[in-house]
Amino acid sequence: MRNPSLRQQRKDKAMADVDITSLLDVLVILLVFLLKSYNASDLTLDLAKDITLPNSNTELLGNHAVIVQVNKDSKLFVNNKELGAVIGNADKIPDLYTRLTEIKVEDDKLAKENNLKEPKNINLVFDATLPYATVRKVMHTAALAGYPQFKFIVQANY
Amino acid sequence: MIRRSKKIERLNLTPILDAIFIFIFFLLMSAQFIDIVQIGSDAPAIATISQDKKDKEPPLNLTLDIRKDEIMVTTGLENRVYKKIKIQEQDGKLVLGELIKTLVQIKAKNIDEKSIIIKPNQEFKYQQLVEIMDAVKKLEKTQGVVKGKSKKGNQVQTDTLFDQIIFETVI
Repeated sequence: MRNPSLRQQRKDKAMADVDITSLLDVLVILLVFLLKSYNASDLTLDLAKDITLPNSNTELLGNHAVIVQVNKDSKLFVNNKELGAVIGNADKIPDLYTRLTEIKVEDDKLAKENNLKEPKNINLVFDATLPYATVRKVMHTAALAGYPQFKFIVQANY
Repeated sequence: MIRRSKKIERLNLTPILDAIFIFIFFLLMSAQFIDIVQIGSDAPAIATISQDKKDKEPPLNLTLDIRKDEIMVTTGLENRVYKKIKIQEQDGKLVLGELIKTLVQIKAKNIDEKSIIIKPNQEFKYQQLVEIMDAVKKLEKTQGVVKGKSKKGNQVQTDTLFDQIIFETVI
């Protein structure tokens, strides 16, 4: 005769065994989706308010550098901190020049300590509707502050 | 008849599940759901060229002078007009077929040349400027390739047009 307490024990053990196959299926699908959308670029961009990126066919991934953003109201952001607006007819934007010069001094110091090349790249993020006059002023100021290699950040079409 | 209880062997998926969870967490943290790319351009550099290092051939100095209604393609130091192209839009996008055709002709004759100078007018929209930068850098797969003879005399085939973009009026 079978021992009822042992049968009960076996029954309990079988109930505790959860089937995780379906969960694993979902996780694998999620993993494939995330791997497909994975971007190897070291550039992390938090878009400022009221910026619509222009579309482009280029495939070149962005790199980490100082980020200057200008939204549709011509408000300026340097590394996500607001810094006035692009106004007036002068080519040079004084506030932007001062801030970029400060960042350049820090970047140069860091590069020297780590035996790296002097940083010259600057990531420029402009709203698609802005006129070239605004773009030119920012480029001019950046070049004067020691960042002559402009990287226009755009949204990929693919 | 005695029925034997068949013991089903089940694979232990717990370790693989743990690994996938860690992987998903890492990927979710680093995920960027907008595909962000870059277009490079350098500020014009001023250099002193000595007489000894002067090229035998004059520089191409290819320039796109973007005006209100037309794009003037000029070449040479005296900015000789190569072609005038009317700016046209279709569905909010620039029609750039004529410009690309012109640039392909110039590239075929100067296959080693990589630079182009862009001189937009002050009111020109940034979105349209990006469209022009895309068009002058590289041919799309459907547009074929450019064939030409290099300075060394070799036959060259490329889909890159002028990928070194310089904005004339920056400094």
